[in-house]
Amino acid sequence: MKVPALIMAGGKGKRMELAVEKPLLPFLGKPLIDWVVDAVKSARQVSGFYVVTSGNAPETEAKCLREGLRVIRTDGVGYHDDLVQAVLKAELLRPVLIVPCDLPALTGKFLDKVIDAFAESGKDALAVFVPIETREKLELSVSSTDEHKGVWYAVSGVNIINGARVRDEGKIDTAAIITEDVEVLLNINTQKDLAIAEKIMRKTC
Amino acid sequence: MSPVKAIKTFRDLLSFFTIIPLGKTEDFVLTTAEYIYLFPVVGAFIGLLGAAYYYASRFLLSYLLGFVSLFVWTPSGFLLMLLPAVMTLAFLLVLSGLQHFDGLVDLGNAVGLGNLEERRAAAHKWTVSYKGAVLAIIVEFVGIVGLFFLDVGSAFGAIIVAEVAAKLAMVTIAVVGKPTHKGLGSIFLENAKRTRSLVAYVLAGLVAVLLLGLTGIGVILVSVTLGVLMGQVGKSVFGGVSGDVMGATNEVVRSAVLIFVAGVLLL
Repeated sequence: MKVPALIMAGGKGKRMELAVEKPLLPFLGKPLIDWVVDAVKSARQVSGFYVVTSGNAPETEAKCLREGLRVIRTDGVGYHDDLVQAVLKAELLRPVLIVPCDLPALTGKFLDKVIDAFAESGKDALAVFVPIETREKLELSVSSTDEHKGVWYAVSGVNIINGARVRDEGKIDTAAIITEDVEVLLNINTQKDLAIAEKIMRKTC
Repeated sequence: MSPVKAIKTFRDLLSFFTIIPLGKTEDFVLTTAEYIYLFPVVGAFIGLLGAAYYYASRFLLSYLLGFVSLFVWTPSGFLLMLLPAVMTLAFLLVLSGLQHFDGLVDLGNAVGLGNLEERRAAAHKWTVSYKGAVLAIIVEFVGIVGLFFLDVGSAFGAIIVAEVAAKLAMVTIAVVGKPTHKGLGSIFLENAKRTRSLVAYVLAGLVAVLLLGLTGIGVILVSVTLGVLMGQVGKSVFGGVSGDVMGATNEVVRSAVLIFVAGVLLL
């Protein structure tokens, strides 16, 4: 199964209190978004991708355009709203892989695994979760959480959703991958997350 | 390479391997990966610091122990062999910010755990299991024993060459190994697979032979053999070579070389 991907890079990154836009924040010297773009490019089952930007991240948008990447601009209201808007703008009315720009340890191999799991599940959506305790033990921040089968998890931001049903999200039966894998564990929301994630990346990657 | 670039590169490499606050460029980790063939040069510098520390501690201890034994009997000969050995090993560990040591602990933690996912997850937890602790202590103990038996004259070359050989083994494992992860690790490993990595072997060989003569050739063989072997260990424990496995290799090879050189000189 091949799916298109959307890289979400239009957030404000307000939790970081940064001088630069979050997607451009250097992680081990390379901008966060470059790590993610490399991962998406190397995924065998991703047919192509767009970078979703907004007025919140003009420099990110300029960089992507300079590099010849396809960009979709959204209103920058929030992760979910921007996602719906991007899916509709690009008319991706089929399964779409959603990837946030703040997962520097992500790999193409991992994304292929997610796509396989989605295909097997037969559902209209799939979300990748990380146990809250795993992030807490590593002293990583836990900001967005979601419930799956009565248990709360940290949201990794990696999802697959059937674009044809993007408007009824919430009512969609969602499959889940719950994992401690470093690829989605190292989600960067704060300066402290960045320091810890760089350390873990040097050790385990 | 211009002199300014060379100095910056060396500073980045030292920042990667030590806690010396030299200032560094933002992408010093990627620079380190790019210049992996210069690892033995950094090793020689670190070894030189280690050797200096060894002699300084020995010198100070000889006075201190001499003074103490004026009043009470102390096994000063024995202590003069043991204490500098322990202190120098500790110095090298602290100088590296314990990062390689930490890799050794993580490797020990992961050995014997059920499946690959569990073993990989064990590497990014901050906990230490008894297996990790035991492995790390044994490996460092071997190094201390090696240093203990080295005489004052040969310790200089041995400490430097051990550090050079340790860094060379990191190059070897990166040359032969497959990454566990297509991110940072693969950047190191891909850089190592270029022909310029031969420079690392030439430089390490030169330093080893210059300081230890024929024994130096033996040291290089030990380094290469252990580098390849640790690649196999990494593959079976973590499914490939990660930063932890490279760090563990540094520790294993340093200790092995110290005991090897001590053994050759004693025989």
